[in-house]
Amino acid sequence: MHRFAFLAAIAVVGLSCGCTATPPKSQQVSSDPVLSRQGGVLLLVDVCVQRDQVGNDDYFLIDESASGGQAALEALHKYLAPSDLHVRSQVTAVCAARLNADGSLISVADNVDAEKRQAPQPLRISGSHTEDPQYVRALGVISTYAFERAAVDKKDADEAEPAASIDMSEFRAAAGVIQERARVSSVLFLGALGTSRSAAKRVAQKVFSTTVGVFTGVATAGLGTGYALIFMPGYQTDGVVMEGALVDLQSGELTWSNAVRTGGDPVHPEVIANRPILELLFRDVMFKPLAGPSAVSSNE
Amino acid sequence: MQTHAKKRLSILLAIPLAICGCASLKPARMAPQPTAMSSSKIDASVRVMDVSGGRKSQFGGPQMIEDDQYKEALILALQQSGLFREVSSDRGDLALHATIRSQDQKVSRGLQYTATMVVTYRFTDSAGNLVWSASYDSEFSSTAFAGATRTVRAREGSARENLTSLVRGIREEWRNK
Repeated sequence: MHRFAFLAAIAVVGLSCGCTATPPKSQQVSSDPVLSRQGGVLLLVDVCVQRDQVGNDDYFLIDESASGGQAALEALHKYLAPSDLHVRSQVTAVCAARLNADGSLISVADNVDAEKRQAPQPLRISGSHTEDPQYVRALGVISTYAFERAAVDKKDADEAEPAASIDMSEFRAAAGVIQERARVSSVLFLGALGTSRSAAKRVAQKVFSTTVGVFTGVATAGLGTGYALIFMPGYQTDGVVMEGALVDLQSGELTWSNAVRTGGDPVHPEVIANRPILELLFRDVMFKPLAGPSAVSSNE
Repeated sequence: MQTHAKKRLSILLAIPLAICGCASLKPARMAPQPTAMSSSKIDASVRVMDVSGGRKSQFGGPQMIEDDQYKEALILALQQSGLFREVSSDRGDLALHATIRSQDQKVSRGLQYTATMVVTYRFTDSAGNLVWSASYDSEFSSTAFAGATRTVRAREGSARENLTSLVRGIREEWRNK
């Protein structure tokens, strides 16, 4: 019986391996035409790292977010360099996207060791024209709009409009302000929303999970099966949701967006400036197939 | 009895090794098969600069191409194509900069591995002016029995497809630039 099962398993593996492989493919690619327009591109990087404390005592970290934003901008520049895009302007922001619909103050700290306080958004912003409050507000609108839509499936979005704090008219007005001030044709957006657990939170989560495991083990022992059931609940870990979006300022539309979640503690800049994640995030917009003579090849 | 068990164990260990061999990427297998030399050579020599964007493979993970491996394959592919007067890593009228923009591997249709990669090629003259550039996205699938062989063949194939496209692109578009 065992021998039969083993042979069957070998046969299944052999058959699936022996199948004809998908034919090879190769095509010439280029960045999205919106990025190649003469007006050039504005790179907007918005990073927001939240410190997850025990209880409801969470707050946002300014210095760590700014370091992550700077590292992400450098990585993005390096990634885009071979595409010969005309990057005309760049802005790095800390928590520019609205976290509260009413725009109220949020809990922040300058860094993990600093005192907590209340502050308005954005927590920090640097780049050209950022002394202009209307421009800064417009960047916040673009960032919020991109964050709210980046992870939404287009099909789902068509069926039921997601709850959004920015409507189309507000978005188009913001796009107009950016186009007028920065004189660019498009905005390439990179957003990162990270969660970093405090040491106390990590310990509390592990202790809680282990305690539940021990209790379920003790409670289910002696059922007569010779086994005990141990259940250890999972918990939220450190990580970052990275979002990318392309805004066409001429039509006032968000033409492309994407989102990727990655692990790691976002207080470390290299977690946000992660090259493989950038490749995954921007692949569709940076490498669009070109129709032409070398579109397809097949060389076995 | 114990000797018998040891023999069986050593045979079991030897089989996967024999199937996989020492699976590793070989630049010679990444270069496309030499075709008939181009009748009208481009009257320029090419210096292939250091490739960037390559990645080291992790043990037990998908195979990734490193910078030096791709540079070697690129030189070989251009030399075999006969498109240029001379191709080397030391000197040339034109400098070729290749950047590996993306490398990935997907699993589909049972145990098929499909390796993908995007490479941007830029030819510049001695003054640093851009002469010709193109990016190619290529993919190649393998259904070889051993996983280690499968990932190597898929990766080498994706590089070969990319280099084939580069050679064809130069041949067809260089004079129209």
